[in-house]
Amino acid sequence: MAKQTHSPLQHHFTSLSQQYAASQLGMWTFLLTELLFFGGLFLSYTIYRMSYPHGFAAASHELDVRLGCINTIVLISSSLTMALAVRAGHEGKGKSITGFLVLTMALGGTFLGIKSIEYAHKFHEHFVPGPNFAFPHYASQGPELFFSLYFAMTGLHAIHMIIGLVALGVVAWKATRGRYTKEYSTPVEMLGLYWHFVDIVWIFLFPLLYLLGRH
Amino acid sequence: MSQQAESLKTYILTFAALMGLTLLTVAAASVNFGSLNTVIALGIAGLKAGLVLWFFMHVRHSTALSRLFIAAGFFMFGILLLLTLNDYISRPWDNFPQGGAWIKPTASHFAAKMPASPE
Repeated sequence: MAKQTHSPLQHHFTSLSQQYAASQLGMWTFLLTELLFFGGLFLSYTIYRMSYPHGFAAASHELDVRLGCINTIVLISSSLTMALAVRAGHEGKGKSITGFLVLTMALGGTFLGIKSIEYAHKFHEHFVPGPNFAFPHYASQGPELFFSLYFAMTGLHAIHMIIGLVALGVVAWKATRGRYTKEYSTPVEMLGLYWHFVDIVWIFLFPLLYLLGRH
Repeated sequence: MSQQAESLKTYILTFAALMGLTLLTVAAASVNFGSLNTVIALGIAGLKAGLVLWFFMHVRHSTALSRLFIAAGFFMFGILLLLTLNDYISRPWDNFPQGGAWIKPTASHFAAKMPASPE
């Protein structure tokens, strides 16, 4: 192991490999609670979509598929740059880690920017549930329920991305200070797991919200 | 100590597959397959999620313990979905005045309670 004044091995672990295994299992425990967190929303979506199939399809038609598709591509690209940052970590290349993390942040920021444009449109068109909600020619609650779930699900997803961006910034900064080596780059890898998980959530949100009833 | 570095080629191929599947799902959504549209969309999304899990999240290098643990988490989500839907589908719901996809007016035991046209 490289000589360091500050060993990455915590005193309560016997080896770095044991510490790594514990980190990995702990991160997955967190991600699986996140799965059930989002899972409740996916379940609500399923039930209300089956209850109001036509209202959901009509409301989904109002979303911009083009922007949704661009955002999917942006987010998948950010997953690639994140994976490359983790790879740079395994190779102990501190500068590459920072570079790829900053790229990931830029793509994540682009996603949120496009999302905010979409949100602004929805506010403008009175598609935000509440007293000002208006969906012409539709008596059922379907469209309003759809938009409630749309904002809840994409909003929760966006909050996760904002938290991810902050974490990316912290890890990128630490990488510039040479905190990660070939032997130890666990934080980069754990952040990668988080980022990919958020990507997976969007992979399901995109077809369920944007592509429903396109044909 | 961390895992061995994955080859660059693996990541690029995974990325290309994810992009291809994204375009495929958009194309498939514009064609009317009837009720199969949802199945196709979720199938493609599941495949994409699988690729991200397997290659980007390194499940393919994970230990058996980690894999079992991860599978158990998804299994729990499966229970949440399946048992809740089991309940919804098997009850005659009077509190959905509009009717729903699962409440067919033709279903004999619901016929007396449900309006003729859904929504």
